[in-house]
Amino acid sequence: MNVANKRSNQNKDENSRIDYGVIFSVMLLALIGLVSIYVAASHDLRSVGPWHAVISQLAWYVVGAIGVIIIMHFDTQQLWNIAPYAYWFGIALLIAVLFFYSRDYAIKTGAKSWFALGPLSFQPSEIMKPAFILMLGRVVTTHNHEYRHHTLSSDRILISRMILWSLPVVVLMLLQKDFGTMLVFLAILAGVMLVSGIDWRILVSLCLIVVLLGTLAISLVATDGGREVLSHIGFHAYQFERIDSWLDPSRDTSNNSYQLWQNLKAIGSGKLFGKGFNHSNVYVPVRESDMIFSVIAENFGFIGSCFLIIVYFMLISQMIKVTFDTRNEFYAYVSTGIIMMILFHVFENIGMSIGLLPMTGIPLPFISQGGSSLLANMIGVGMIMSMRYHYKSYMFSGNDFQ
Amino acid sequence: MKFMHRFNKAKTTQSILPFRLNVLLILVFGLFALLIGQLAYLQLLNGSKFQAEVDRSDKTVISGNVPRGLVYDSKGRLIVGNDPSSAITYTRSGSVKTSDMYQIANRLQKFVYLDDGNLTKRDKADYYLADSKHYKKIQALITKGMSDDEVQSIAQSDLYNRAVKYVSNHINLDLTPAQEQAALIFQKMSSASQYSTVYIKSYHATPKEVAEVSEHQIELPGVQAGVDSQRSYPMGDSMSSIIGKVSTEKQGLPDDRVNQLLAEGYSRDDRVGTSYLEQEYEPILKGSKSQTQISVGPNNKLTDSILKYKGSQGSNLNLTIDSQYQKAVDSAVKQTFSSAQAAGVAQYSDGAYAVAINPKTGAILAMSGVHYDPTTGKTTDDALGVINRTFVMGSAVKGATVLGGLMSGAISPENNVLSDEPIYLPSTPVKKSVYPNGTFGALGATQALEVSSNIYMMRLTMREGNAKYTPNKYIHIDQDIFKKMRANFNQFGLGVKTGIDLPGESSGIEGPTMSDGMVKVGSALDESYGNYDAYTLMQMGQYVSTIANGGYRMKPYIVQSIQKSKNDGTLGAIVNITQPQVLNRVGFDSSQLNVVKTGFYNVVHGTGAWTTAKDLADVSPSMAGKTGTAQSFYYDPKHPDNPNPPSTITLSMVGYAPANNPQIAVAVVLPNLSTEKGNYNLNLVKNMMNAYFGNSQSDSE
Repeated sequence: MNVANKRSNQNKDENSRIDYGVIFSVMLLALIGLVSIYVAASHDLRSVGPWHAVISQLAWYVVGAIGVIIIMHFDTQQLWNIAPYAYWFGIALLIAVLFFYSRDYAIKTGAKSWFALGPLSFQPSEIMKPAFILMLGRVVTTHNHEYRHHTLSSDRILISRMILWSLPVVVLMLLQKDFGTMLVFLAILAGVMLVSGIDWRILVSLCLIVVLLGTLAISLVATDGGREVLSHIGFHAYQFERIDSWLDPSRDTSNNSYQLWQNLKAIGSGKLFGKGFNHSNVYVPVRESDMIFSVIAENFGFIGSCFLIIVYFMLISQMIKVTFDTRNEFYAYVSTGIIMMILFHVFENIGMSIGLLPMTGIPLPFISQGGSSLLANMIGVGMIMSMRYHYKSYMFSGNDFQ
Repeated sequence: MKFMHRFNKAKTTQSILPFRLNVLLILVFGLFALLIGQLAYLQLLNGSKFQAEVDRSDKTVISGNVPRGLVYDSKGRLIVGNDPSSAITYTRSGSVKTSDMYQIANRLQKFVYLDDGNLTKRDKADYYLADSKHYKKIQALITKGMSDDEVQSIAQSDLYNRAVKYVSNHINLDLTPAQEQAALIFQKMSSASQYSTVYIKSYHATPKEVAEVSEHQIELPGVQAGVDSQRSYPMGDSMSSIIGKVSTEKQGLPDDRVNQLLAEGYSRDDRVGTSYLEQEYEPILKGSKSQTQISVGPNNKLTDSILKYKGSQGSNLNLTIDSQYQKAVDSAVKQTFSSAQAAGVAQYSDGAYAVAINPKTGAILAMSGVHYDPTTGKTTDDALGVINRTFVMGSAVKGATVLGGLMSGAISPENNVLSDEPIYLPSTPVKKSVYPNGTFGALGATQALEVSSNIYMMRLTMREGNAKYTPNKYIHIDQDIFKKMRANFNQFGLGVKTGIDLPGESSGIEGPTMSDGMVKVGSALDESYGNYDAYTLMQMGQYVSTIANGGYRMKPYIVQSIQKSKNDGTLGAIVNITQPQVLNRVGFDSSQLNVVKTGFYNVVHGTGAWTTAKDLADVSPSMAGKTGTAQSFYYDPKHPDNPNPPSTITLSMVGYAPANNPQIAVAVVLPNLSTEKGNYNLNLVKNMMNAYFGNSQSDSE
């Protein structure tokens, strides 16, 4: 009786340490992802059947789940210690890929950001994302312990430290010509800056600078003279074409805007309820990966799309809830980074699919086909899970974070 | 209070964090709301618009060929048919890649042998590069030393062109016979656009080839055994120059009309009539293509095809020509010309031409011609020369001159005797008739036609032009004399297009009218007896028909009716019968016409020593007509500056029968013979008349 009670207590204990909310959301997303990949693969002519695509994605999920379980068992101290190693390991991989990138892939996509080992391909920047988040969290935490109170001058030091740690990653991303992934890192940086306690005035003025630069960039791109200036700096014509097709997708539907226009047609024709499972009559290139949202929107319509966005919102709010519950400063920065990573992926991917943002090669988290991006996201989930799993040790009263 | 408390204490990170995390949550919420807003805009507000766009762009109508219409003669005999034969076709589906076609071509090469077509270096390079291994290799070679950036900046098509250039210059493109065949097949396959069908072997695929292709259908996606047809001419090809040609599959649309035809819905490899009857009646002969709506699913897969319109076979033409009679006229023309050749008088000749018309309707009964080329000595069938070759016809036009004089009031049926004194102009040979000077002192119009007096025609012209004649002095004549004469001739059809339903008709050639500011009087006098302007033989036929039928210039036509084909290939309803069309009525009265008709009758039936066509008096039923003789010089292309070119004689004749109620009018010409002897024109007319009436007698029996 006693033993049984103890075990049940232990079970209860174990249960309460696992964040089923996050697991539930991720599983929902996984399900949506597998269904979408099935639809995409069964409508596109390819050498392997739809089940093949679904099963290999499922296999990646299994690998990812194992990753989650492993990472979940790391506690904050271990993560804290791993951070610099992970960071420098990631940087080394990013440098290596500059030399050993897959030539085939570079010709196909223009980005030199993939390793290829036989049939397996792998993008080191995906590994860099969680490593960068960890490192950034560690940097901010260290700083905030050094300077207990935020002053304008201490904030300036913090900002320059953050930028200093981000700079190698950003430069390497530019060298790989992977503009989209670079934006992911910048989004993570911005998110962590927001929560790192930097003074409002600095944040607002940084925001203003970004808005100003953005406006300038758009006005440069939208005018011929501006384009001339930009092409002198080293921008390519295809980048302008992407902007053009974003501004007016129906203008040139056979060439530059073909993908976007097909995509808009697929999504638009889904209407309120969608065409139903596995009903697709618009062909969208690469819809199994970056353009997967078109499958969901075409098959399940506005309702299905909203459901997907709500699931993402649910996942993110779960993550924020965990952060509140655990009240650990380092964890707070890490989870903010992960939230920003997922948020940016979701917003940019769906945004470009529906014509809100220009096209970039960014997958939809947990849904797009592809192992390495799924792994990065699963590592992120693992770190969030690890908070709940270990939070008892950091339980501590009061409103403040430790 | 607590809020204020936090705000004041906002200098420690730990206290700021919860608030900032909430800001983050709000940010997430805001961005997601933005996504949902845009989704609502796309799917709810514009969903129907996109749905319409999807429905529109993914359905295509493709058209299929139908058999071309046939041509029959007036008795329902098939002149132009379609000769169906097995063919090997290839239909390009939406998703097929170059490398797929390369494989198919290599497989097909084992079963099908192409004996025509030639490969350019470019074709060979295309074939070579269609192998993706080769293309990768060449791509690596031409981009060697370039950075990836540079390679990226080259457009795919440009890269391909560079590869082609490289292959043509550096790779040995000697193909084995099998590869050559495969390259030929590949060339044809790649000419197909999406969902269109091309012939790989368009004609005379052997039964073995068809069988093998059908057997290996599965490994040859898109390749099929089909049917192709070519024009056939069961009645021989004597009329082929009138019927004209149809472009072959290989030639495709003629270059000069390609844009117009594409706009009319032809496809590039369609067959189209490129000359004469086939061209003139193209819209009727071609039929209307079948239309199939295909729906294209995701990844360009064909999901659905609905036959929207079955198409209809081209309509048939029934000609006015009786092929039996046409054959008789053909052999008469050939016989006449070879007898002239045998007599050694045809060395400078252009050949021989003949046309027969129903004078009451303008229906062409036969048209035939042989063309002789003095420089090569070759004789070719040239029925079309009747409408597109012009000759100075000689006295045969005098009927129009006399009627012109009568209508202008220069002479009248009662009072038409003119002096037959020869006319002397300064520094010009004497203007006279064939017969010796002084044979006749004066002539009436009828007799002038019978003996073919040139002097009468000239004197009549001088009277019409108010000329003052003093021998050996320049004759002052009205400035508009040419205009007047030609206006008169034009009424009969001489010097204007006859309006026949064939393209490429000539309107004749007008000589210059003025020299040094003065009217060329001598030429004007020559014009009066047909020795100046040049006309086509069809114009002569129209002119004599106008006299034969009492003054109606009829539009000649060769298509009697248009008849539909039923879908089983049998003849269907007649959709159009050509109505005889009067182009103009010449304003003479019957007494005026009678002068000329009597003259024409006497040309054949007169008894005078100088009556010109007495040989035809025994033609039954009795006929009337007018002969013509024109003098000219042979233009030798090898010696264009010869000061003394050989002089030649053109013999012509127009006539009709029966004289009192004409059913047939004929016109013949034998241009540029070496002598006026031999009566070739009379013999040819005689043969044509006998053949025609012999024919109709045997038919009625």
